[in-house]
Amino acid sequence: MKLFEKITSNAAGICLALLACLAVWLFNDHTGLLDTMQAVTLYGEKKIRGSWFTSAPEMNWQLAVLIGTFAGALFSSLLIGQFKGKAVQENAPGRSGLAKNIFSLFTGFAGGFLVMAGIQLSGDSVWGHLTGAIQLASGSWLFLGAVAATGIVAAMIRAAAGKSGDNAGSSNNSTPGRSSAKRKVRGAK
Amino acid sequence: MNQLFFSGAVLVVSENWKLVLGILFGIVLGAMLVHSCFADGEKVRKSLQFKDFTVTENLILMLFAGLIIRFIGVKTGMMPEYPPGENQYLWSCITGGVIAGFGLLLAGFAPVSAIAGLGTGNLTALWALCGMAVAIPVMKKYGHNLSDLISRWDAKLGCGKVTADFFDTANPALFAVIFTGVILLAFLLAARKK
Repeated sequence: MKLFEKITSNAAGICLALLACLAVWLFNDHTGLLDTMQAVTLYGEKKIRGSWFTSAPEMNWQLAVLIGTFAGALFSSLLIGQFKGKAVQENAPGRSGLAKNIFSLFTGFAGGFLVMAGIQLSGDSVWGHLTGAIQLASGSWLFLGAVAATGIVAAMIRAAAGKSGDNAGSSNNSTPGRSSAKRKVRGAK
Repeated sequence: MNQLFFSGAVLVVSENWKLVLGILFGIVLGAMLVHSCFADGEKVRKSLQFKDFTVTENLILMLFAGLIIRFIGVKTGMMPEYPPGENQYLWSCITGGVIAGFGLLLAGFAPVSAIAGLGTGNLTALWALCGMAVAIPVMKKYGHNLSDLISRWDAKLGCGKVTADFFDTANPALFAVIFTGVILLAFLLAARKK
């Protein structure tokens, strides 16, 4: 990452801290926004089920923040040239574009499901816990620690799987000449 | 001016002004999420796998700066001493963190960062939002079974109290700042070594 981008990125991190504290002063609440997302989703669920007497969720500051977040991200990404229409995760397995799209859809959906399940269980969203951690809420520190620990365990499993995969690959390579010839052809292309 | 706008430690404005402030706040939040790479699902996933440290560094920096800003805010009377919102419970937070951690490894987005990610044109954020939208009614209907199971061993948690002096050994913010400061120093040294 270039130095200017790194400085901008770090400055944005500090600004986020300022925003988290500002939210408590402005709205006397975290910026978790879980309640609004729940209200909007449950309203949509009732509409899908055909319940036409359900009133729309209240237009409160939380919904306004969500709308502003989308707008701010859109304008900012357009300004700095980071707006990119992307539907596939990096390194998604699959030979065809369709397979990669399906993989990305599935992992994105499953990941989103698990994230919401986890934050529903813990009582606040990830950003709510970040704000809570700044305010020394011990549950928020535990939540963030659990997320980090999950990442560490996953990284260790991946590293172990990568090592065992390398060992299996070297033992199976019984015709080095043929495989190296194939690699040369692919390299020439 | 203080009497007009301040009531205790919270800004007092009408609901309409709160909506305006919310939109403005959200615009700045969205822009900062983009610049700090929190809205980039790939970087979040890589940071959890320890392949990229941009998001981790910004997260630790956010906590470091936030703890200091919050202490100043409480001392000047601009922030409440105790966090607003619901109570937190031990095993619910830990279990929720583990489940959310797996979700972040797969999708790379939290709810707010998914909305910001969608604003950057990243459609993978849309799939994550769809998953989140489905999870809400599912957890509402079936999640209480897991919550009830966990609540048998659960314990209510509190929060650290703000002391008079920041460098007081009874101030939990001091230890949190030292902890995050050490990690930031490690990132700085690692970057210089590269």
